[in-house]
Amino acid sequence: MLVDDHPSIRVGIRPGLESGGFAQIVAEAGDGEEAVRIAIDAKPDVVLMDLNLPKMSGIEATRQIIAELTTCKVLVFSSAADEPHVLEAIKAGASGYVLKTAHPLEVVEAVRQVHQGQLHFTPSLAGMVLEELRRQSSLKLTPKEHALTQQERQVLELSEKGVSMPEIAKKLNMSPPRVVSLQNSATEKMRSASQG
Amino acid sequence: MNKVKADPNETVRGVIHEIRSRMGAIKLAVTTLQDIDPGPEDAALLLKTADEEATRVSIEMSGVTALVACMTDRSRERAADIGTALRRAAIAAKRRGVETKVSGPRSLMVKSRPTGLDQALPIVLSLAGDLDARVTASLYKRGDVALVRVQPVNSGAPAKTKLLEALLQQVGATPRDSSDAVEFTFALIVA
Repeated sequence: MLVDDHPSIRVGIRPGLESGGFAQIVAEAGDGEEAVRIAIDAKPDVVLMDLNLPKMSGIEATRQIIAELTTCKVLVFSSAADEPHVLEAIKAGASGYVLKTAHPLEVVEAVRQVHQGQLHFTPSLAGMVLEELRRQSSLKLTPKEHALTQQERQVLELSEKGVSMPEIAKKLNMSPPRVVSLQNSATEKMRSASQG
Repeated sequence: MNKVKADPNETVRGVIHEIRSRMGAIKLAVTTLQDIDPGPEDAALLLKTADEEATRVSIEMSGVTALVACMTDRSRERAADIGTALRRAAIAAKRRGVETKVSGPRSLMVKSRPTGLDQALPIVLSLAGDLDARVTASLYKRGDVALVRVQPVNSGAPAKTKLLEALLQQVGATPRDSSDAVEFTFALIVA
């Protein structure tokens, strides 16, 4: 399900998601209230959610959709890259956060991962997310103590420096999906540690 | 009536968000056309979307210039002739390719900021018309207010953008709900 108050964004993202029969767009909404109402009816597996919406914010809509549909995953798709937005989205229960400047193939990959129960954050935001997870962890564990692999640590360090996903892939001589996968496994380990 | 003064930071954030979303839509369309084979129907739709959004961004960038001019204008609200200002705005909008037919009193004094009106109204006409090159602007006297109603001639309801709201707020206008037009009022000054 696509939620964005700009129809042109919905038009733009649809072909990528539907290409190769990967996903079927079951519903669309242009504001937060409509998003909650339609989601409850359409019961989508994944909601691609903008944050800056009329009538009800994307954060509140995320909170309500997750409360109503426990198996539904929300992936935030926003142009806001600032810390409060990202952290609020996580607190609301979002499974990931992708910037609108991301390549459509990254969005498709993010939807796929979130659908499979994993987390996905745009690489430039991953450092911020991990820092927050670290802060939440009273143990203040280091990456080593989280038993991160060497590759996970390398990806993590570059992400924290704000290096983009394609650049990380180039530097470490690996494919972009591999970078995303390593980043997600690192995030998952950090999250487990902060909850444990 | 007391109006709540909008937080300028919040106003600018809202306007930037809108423009950024349009730029995002253009980028999304271009990268999808480039890297994903979207099929002829979707490809045509993406090209049309990119073209329309680029036009809107262009109008909105002019609007940002007008908004900054209004926000930095320190003059107070005073008597302004909205009838004359609307006709001047129609001439300015025509230079931007928007044909405006103005109807109603040729002169009607309202409380506003005359300099801001000249900056904001041509953009308001363009924004209300969206991609439609023709709009009508009707001026009415309703009780103690002057009502302005701007409607696209060919297309449906105009989008109520943050930029439009911000420009109206800057010139002391109060937006009104309307399903098929941009409507706003000014307090009338009775001689």
